[in-house]
Parts: sequence; structure tokens; C-alpha cells
Amino acid sequence: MRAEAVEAVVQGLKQAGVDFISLLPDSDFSELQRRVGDDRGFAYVPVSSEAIGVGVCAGAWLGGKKPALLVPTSGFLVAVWPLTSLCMAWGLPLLLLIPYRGDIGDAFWLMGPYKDTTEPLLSVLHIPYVVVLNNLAVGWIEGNTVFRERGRRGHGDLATAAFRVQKTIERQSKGVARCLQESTIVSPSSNFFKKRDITTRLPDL
Amino acid sequence: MKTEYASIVYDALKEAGINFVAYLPDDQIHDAQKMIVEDAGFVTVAVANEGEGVAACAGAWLGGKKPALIIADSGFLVATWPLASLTVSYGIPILVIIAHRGEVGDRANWRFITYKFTTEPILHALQIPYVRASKPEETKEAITGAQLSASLWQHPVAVLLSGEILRD
Amino acid sequence: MTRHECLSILATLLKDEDLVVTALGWVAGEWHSVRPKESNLYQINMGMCTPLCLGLALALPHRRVIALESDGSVLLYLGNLTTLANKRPGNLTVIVFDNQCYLATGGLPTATAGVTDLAGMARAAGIRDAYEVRELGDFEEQARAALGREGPSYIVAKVDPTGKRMSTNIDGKEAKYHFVRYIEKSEGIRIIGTHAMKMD
Repeated sequence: MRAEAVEAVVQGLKQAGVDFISLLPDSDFSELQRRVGDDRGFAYVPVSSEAIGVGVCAGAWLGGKKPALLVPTSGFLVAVWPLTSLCMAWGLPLLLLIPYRGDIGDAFWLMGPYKDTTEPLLSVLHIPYVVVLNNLAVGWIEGNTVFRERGRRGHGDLATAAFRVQKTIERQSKGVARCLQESTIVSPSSNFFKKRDITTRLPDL
Repeated sequence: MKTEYASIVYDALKEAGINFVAYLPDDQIHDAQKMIVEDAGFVTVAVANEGEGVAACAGAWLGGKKPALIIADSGFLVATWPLASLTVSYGIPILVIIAHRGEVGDRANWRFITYKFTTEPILHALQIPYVRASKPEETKEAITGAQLSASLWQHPVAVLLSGEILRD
Repeated sequence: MTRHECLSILATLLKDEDLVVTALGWVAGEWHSVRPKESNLYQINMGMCTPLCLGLALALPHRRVIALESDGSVLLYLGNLTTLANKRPGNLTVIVFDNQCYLATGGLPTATAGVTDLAGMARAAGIRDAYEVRELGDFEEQARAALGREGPSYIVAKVDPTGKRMSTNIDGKEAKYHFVRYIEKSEGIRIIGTHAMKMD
């Protein structure tokens, strides 16, 4: 993650009033995680399971904090049970930041399933989300928190906002290059796209 | 679950060739779990977390067993991560029996509506095919058919037990 | 003490037919570099290496099964210690390479970098033979003892937070087929295919 992207996310979290952060270390977020851990403006709780992280954040919110959970696409699956039984059932707000592993351009085969699971599960759990492709993160995190505070209605109570913070354009390009070489083994979803389709998506990234 | 219904589940598992069961005790399906544990024909593992049950079943299959995971809806949510990253990713056939609550007409309290919103949609999201059995007479075929498909497809397959079959 | 040094010693203590399963991370490539056998299964995702080995050990009680675990993976599903302790698979040895950080994902600390004692937790869960080692000589002694006794044995090897990214030369899902075909061959059973099914 580029330094200015890390800075953008941190500033976004601060402007949004987030003062409590839980996380389990993840490679695509490690710089951000270090930065958050070193910042005295955030209460910082590293956990060994993202499921514990959801519980910790839920408690922090009940105690008056504004929590955020930095969770990878894999950890999002680990967290499904507490996101359901705590956040969904009780209507507890929680901001999730998810680096989107498994998207087109990610050449590690084990990440493939997350393209299939992440967005469908966010929908199933009624967690609204927005995709962040560059360092516009500041405004989007802020805007979403406003939405979260307003969103006290029915299932909108959840108002759990999630972001996929994309890897940098440089890393994406690199990943796509590998993906083109290995497109038959990357994942079912990338198999679905013809090579030229991946190429034509590049400018959008 | 009535004792005679528990026998149906137990007999169907045997007929399907299941010989390894990981489970976390659940009141809905406790009688069937008890019959399995008391039968030396099954290797059983009582787990502390349904996620490790998925992994134990995967290891058992790699070792030549025919595994089933017997859990409740809540446990299915706990098991989401290993189901996706281990059994779906690698294509490991395990039979997942879920005691499914929260159906319309179910005498279950407010907590159980959560499972109406999660169990089936998440099965879809994880791309785990499933079959439902609500009546005693359809249960055996559901279980043996699900195991057949799991073996043929090299993929996890679920059976949702709900309604009458779960009633006391 | 590095993980690679420990693995080099462990490789000399094993027979070809011993089944070894590695957790996710660089341990897979390092293990492949010292023992490239078909009885290896690589890269089992976070939290699932030990429970998968428990299932494997129960399915094949006459084979030795060795789990090459990491601290981060064990900490994700700590409850598995209690399952392992109560099932007592005699043929299972778990070796946790505890480098006190999430090395492959950037190096932030795990709980064992703080006050947590994994071997102590394993003992408290009921695994009698759970030991922590910090020197290569002790590692070899404990690994030898574990492989020679009725298990389960649980060795927590405190290693430097260093490692090497090496390839296993096996692509993801291919590992499943390699491993299953090896088990079929060595056990004389069929696991994959319609003829492996009991039902018509």
C-alpha cells in the first residue's frame, strides 16, 4: 500500500471520528496497521481471530467508542458468525475496512474464492459497501460514517459500512501481468474473463 | 427430534457410507449425534468450534474416510471460513448436516429469524449445493443423495433438516 | 534458532511414509526444500492445519502424522487444543514454529510476542507432552521423543522471525490430488472416483 494511500485512510478514519481500531495483521494492510498502532489517537486492539475483533468492536461501541475493524477478505469469512449474531441481530454499527484480495489482477490462486464470497456475503449480511480504487478514501469514509449515524431504520440499523481498499495501481498492473500469464489457474472467476477483457479493465483501475 | 426421527438420520448416514463424524452438540439433533457416538462404526470428533470440525472432516477424507459434519445454523456461520477456504477451494467432499431453524411456522424465538436470512443465502454465496428435508419420509433420500453428489462432484454438499423432522 | 534449521533436522528423523502437513506461509516452501516427498501436503489455510491433521490421524491411526503449524494459525482456533487433548491421537505430533509474528504478511506481532505461552496453554488444555524449545539440540531431542512415543505431542519451537519465500513447485489445488493419490497408493484404497463410493 502506498504511503499516500495509508495517509488518506488514516485521515479519513480520523475525520470520521473513529477512535478505536481492531485488526489481525494482513499483508496488504501492514503499513496501515503499523501506522494505526503507532497513533495515540486510536485505541488499538490486535486480535488473533477476526471473530474476536468484531466482539471487541461491538463492546467498544456500546461503551461509547467509534470502532473500526480492519479485516482481510479471508478474515471477513472468519467474522461471519459474530457479524451475524452481534451486528446483524442486535443492530450494532461497525465500520469494516477490507482490502480486496481475489479481485481481478490478483494472481494468487488461493485468493480466487474471495471474489466469489466477499460481495455476495456483504449483501447477505445486509452490510452496505463502497469500493475504493484510489485515495479518495478520505471523503468516502467520512461520508459513510454520516450515513452510519443516520441509518437507524429497520435493518438499515446495521449501517455497517465496508470498503474494499484496492491495492495500488502499480501492484494491480503487476498482478494483472502475472494473471495474464497464469489465467487458467488463478481462480474460477478470472477464468471467466477472456484475456482481452482483463486488459480492457486496466484503465478503470 | 423424536427418537424415531433420529434413527432415520442415523440409518441414512450409515447407508450413505459415512464413517467419520465431527459434531458440536446441538439440542435439535442431539439424539442422532448420541446414536452415532455410541456406534463403534463411526470415528467421531466432538469439536470446540465448527470450523475445526470442517478441517477434521477434510483431513479424514484425505485419509480415506467418508466424513460428515453435523451442526446447527449458528455453527454453520462459525464454519464459513474453513468451508470456503478449505473444502470449496480444494474441492473436498464433505457432507454437512445442518439442523435448520427459523423457518416460517417454526416455534422459534426472535433470535432464530437471523438464520432465515443467513443459512440458505450463505450456502448460495459459498457455492455449496444443498437439499432440504422437512418430513421424515424424505430425509433418507436427502442424506444419501447429498453424499452421492458430494463424492461425484468433489465438493461439499449440505442437507438442511427443518420442520417436522426436528420436532420433539 | 531458525525454522529452516529445525526443519532440516526434522527431515532426517522422518520416514518416507510419515505424513506431513504444513500451515500457510513460508514454512511450506522451506519444508519442500528439505523434504520434497509425496507424503507432504502444503499450505493449509489459517487455523486449519492442526484440526485437519487430527482428522487425518484418526482416519489413518497406523500412520505417523506431523503438523507443521505456526503461532498465528494456532491462535486463530485455540479451542482446537482442547479437542486434540481429549481425542488423544497417539500418532499425531504438532510442531508449532512460533516466530512471534505474522511473518509472511508483514511481521506484526502475535500474542506470543507478548505474555502468552502456547506450550503452557496446550498443557492446560490437557496435552501432557507439550514442550517449548529454544535451542536446536533441544528441538532435536523433543522431536525425536515425540516421534517415538504415543502422542499427541505438542512442540512449540521458538524461532527467529526470519524465513525464506521458496516454491513448493506444486500449484494450489494440485496438492490435493498429489496427496490423495499417494494415500490411495500407499494404503491400497480408493478415495477419488465413482468406484470409491459405497453406494450405487
